[in-house]
Amino acid sequence: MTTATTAPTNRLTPGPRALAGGGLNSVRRNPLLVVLALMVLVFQLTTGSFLDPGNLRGIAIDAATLAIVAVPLALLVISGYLDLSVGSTLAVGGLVAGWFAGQQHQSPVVAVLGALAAGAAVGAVNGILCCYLGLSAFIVTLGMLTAVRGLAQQLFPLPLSSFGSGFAWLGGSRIAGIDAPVVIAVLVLVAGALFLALTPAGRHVFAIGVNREAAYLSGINIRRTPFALFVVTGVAAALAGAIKASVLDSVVAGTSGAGFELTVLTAVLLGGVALTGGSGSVFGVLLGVLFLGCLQNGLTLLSVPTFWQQMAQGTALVAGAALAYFGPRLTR
Amino acid sequence: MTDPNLRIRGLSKSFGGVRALDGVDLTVPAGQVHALLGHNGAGKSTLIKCLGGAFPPDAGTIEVGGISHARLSPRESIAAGVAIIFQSLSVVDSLTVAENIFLGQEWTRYGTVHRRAQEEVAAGLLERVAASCSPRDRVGELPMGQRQLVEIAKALSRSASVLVLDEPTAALSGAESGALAERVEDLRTQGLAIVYVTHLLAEVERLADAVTVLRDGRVAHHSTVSGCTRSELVDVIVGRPEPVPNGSAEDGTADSLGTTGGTVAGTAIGATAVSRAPRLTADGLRGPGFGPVEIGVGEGEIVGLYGLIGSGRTRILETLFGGRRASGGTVRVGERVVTPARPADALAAGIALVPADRRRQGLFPVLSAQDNALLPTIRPLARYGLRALGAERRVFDAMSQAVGLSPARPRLPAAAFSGGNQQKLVLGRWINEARSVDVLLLDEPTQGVDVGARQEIYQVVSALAEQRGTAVLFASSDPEEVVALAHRCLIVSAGRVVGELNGAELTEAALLSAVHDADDPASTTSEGAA
Amino acid sequence: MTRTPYPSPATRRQFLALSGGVLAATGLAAAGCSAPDDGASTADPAGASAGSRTLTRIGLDYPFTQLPLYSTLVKLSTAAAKKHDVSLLTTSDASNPDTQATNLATWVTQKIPAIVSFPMVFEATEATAKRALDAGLIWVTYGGSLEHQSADIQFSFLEGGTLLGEAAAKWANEELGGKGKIAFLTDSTIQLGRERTKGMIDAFTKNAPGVDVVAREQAIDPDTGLSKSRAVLAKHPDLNLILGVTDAAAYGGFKALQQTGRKATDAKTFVGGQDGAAPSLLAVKKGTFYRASAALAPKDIANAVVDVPLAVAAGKANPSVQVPITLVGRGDTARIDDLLAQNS
Repeated sequence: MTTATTAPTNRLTPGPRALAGGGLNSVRRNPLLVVLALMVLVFQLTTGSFLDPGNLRGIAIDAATLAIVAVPLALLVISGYLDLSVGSTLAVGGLVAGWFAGQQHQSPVVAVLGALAAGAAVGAVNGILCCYLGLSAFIVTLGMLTAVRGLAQQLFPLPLSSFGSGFAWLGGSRIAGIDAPVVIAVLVLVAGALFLALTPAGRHVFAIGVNREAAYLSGINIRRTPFALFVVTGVAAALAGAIKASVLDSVVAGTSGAGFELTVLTAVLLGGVALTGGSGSVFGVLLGVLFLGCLQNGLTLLSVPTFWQQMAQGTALVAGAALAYFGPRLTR
Repeated sequence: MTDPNLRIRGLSKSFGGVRALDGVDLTVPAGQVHALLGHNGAGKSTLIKCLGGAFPPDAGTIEVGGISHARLSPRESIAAGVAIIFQSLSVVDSLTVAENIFLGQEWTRYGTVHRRAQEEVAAGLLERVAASCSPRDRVGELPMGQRQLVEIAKALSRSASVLVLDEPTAALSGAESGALAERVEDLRTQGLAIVYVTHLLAEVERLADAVTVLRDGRVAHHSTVSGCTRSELVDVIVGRPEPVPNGSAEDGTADSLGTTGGTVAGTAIGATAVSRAPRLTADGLRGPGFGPVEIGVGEGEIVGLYGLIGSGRTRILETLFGGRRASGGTVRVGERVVTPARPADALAAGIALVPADRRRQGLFPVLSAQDNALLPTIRPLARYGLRALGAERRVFDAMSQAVGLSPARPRLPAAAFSGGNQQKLVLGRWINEARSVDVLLLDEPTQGVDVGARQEIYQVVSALAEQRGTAVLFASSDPEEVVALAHRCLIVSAGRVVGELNGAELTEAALLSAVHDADDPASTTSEGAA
Repeated sequence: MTRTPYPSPATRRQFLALSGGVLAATGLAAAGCSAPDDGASTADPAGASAGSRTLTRIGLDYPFTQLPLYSTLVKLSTAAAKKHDVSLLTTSDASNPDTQATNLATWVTQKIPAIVSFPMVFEATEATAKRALDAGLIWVTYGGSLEHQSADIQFSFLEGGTLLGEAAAKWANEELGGKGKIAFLTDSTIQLGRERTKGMIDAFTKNAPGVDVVAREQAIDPDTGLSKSRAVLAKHPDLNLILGVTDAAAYGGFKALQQTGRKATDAKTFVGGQDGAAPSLLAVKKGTFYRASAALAPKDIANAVVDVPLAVAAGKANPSVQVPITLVGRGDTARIDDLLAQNS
């Protein structure tokens, strides 16, 4: 219900407005906004340091890699597909970038391009299998999650580290006082919102997700656009991997990005993107990403013991989803 | 029994301001077959759905076996003893006959399904409806008529006292229809109250004890069958004897549309059709379940494909559009041979299809009206890869005005529109100023569309043919629609064109009898087609 | 073998005492369950015939395939096995206890003559071990001990944590005057993590009671280590120490401190971890404030993986081995280079 009404309205709003919301209206369309604000308030009151600039910066950097992958994944989900392999693709991206920068002593540009190419390759395999051969995206990308992880560990059994100061720029530098990963994430968010609002393909993404048969009968190429989204998702995951590798100056094939696919998917779904396809907005995804980032950070600030933290995270997730779902009905 | 088994009183139901049912009364005693007649959209299916619990009525009561209900849920309806056999049967193909009959009310022993007992009882029920299948047959492998009997047996197993048959012979061959008629007579003698929905007056004459005609949601006529003739019934169904669209359509096009009485105009069209430049030509087109067929539609001509469900109308349209692959023959637009293999090919050649199943194949319910109407137009309008938002809005506004979209709100999700306006959106996809096609194929153009909007859609389509010379080929199972819209009509039966009605011959009565005549000899081949 | 900048004699003595204690405890446990000293051979029918067996195959079941140690261990063990003309089989458990149980059951069914297994859940592996022994197979428990086993390869994870905690406490007393703030990156999800965590925290808080413990956060990978440390740093920008249950997590803490503007050579900061992972060892070697790692030598483990089953097969008494954990620090360049070489 919520998602159904979110989609058509946001779709017609030009990108920048969709991204920035639109005052009261966007609150009604994105009840998660209220949930998020409440959560921030509670954390600030209980910790006293949640809103410190240093902490917000930390949240932003953490959320950045999540957002970079969540935006293209959201588009993919809107078009009725799914990619569960992003965790492993992220590892591959970090490893390839680290290998180029650390072991081959290539320039950071080469390292990042290498990572992106690897991500595109993984995405293309997913896309061919799902869009052109019509296999179930769930199964294909679940299989790829394991296969790509295996490949990564086979190629890079040992941790890579010491990538040099040039590569550290990707994760560590600041552009106008803002950390590079955050800048990249903002660019991705804006690009995603503009794509949905302003390009014909953006409309096609929705149409394919809502009713693939009707889209086909309308003469839309129902394979090419989702295929491209698979590739872009792969590229984004690899970019996120390269950023993480740069921030940590190290990358481990076995553990890098493990479980990341579910975190991203959670952010996407929390943001109001329907798993059935056809509805969602980039602004919603941004809220989902921030929700997860703030939750994790706030619980750490509160020094909640491990298992309580897990319980709190799970509960907050369900509560957030429930409030976002029922909230608008109660207020109407 | 003194109490009638089914008594409906003052039943009303509106959808978004449109009165689908307006104070309808219907009384069916046990042991009687009551025919329910009326055009598509007259309120028959709404009535049935209220009875089956799919819609809650706004007012009125439904009394079954002496117990009165203001509204029914599907479960309550079944419990009350109402069984509805819809046109599209609700049997599960992958289960056996016995499993279907006991679906949802399985007999269990020690927590497992008591298969043998079920099969024994099912065999008895099948015998009661004189079905020739075995309880162990898979339903998906049975012919249509047997599947229908399975569904009736299922109704009997739930000790239904009111049986509603919704156009039961629409998808049946002549022989199967005859067999079904015998079953209906049996069931009548077994004391069931039967509501029989049909278009075919011959069936009414043969089976019905009483008849009710609905028109525009009201009871237009009620009588015992012996009390009226076929032509009287046709008059009641059609309404006033004068042509329907004359009142609503004032422009020149509407006059030439002529319905039942438009003999002069009709002849004129028939004559001009010959001289028209051919726009769409299908030569020896065939595919699975139909053909070979020869179809020609001239520039600005509107041709109907009239036939029963399963006659192959839809297949022909879908093949012309490239949704199905033709196994032979050629399709030409003008002089060019196109024979599309995919919808995209057809669209590139200037052929568009508005499918019958709007919800599944046409509409994007959660997307806005503008997106629905302009989907294939967004890319052609775009500049430098970016959408031309202003141009899109302009095209949409012009389109919504042309088709009379109401409300003309571009951002409203398509699901919020009425059926007629949804159809206008799907239609608008192909007839807006930025994207117009040479050949427009329409499958059941006004299915699920209310009466008022229906006339508007006819006007839009007629104007399109008139002003832009678009060749229109539409399939319909509604004689009234064919008469209202077509210049010329091809009768389709068992996958072939078996006749053609032109000009003055094109009347509802002629269509109804053409289908009857065509149906009998073709009975054996149409079985598998549905 | 161990040259650390931290008080070697004390830790070594403790190490010996502790490992003695562990061995004694193991002995007691065994005695308690399966009769006197020679009970091992009576309870184990394979033991009698084991005397003259020659092994051709050893199965190494190390479940944490995502850890770099897995690759290193497989490589070094295979090489070590080859010297004895033994082929080494491995499982791929992907850190999943159910997969591990399935894989072990398969090996027992196929009668792999010697199985070296690191049980993810010790209690759940007992039955499999018993079946292996009943089938006449050699069962070597890795990283702990089971009731039913031929021998074991032990590490004192507690000891590793203790070494790290003591070294950090000593540093805090010397460099910070016993005052400051510390954050622990812990693990409470698996047995070895809990042992390491306990050793680390207990030793530190006992020896440096004046230092405030400001956080105990679950983190075993660098990502989590980074984001949790960053959150802690937002609240406590003056944090002095981060100790990690793994080097990977501590490395994330190391990066978080640098990101908040701490120079890599800051004199008032201490980061330490456990494992001897390559990135951490490099950071230690470079003289950064990543000052210590409680490291296992992969070669020692690999040798044990081959030697212990061979010793059982040869019928030797007391075939079990305790693999030493040592703390490496800035000065241990040779040791670091040796470990890095083993890791490559």
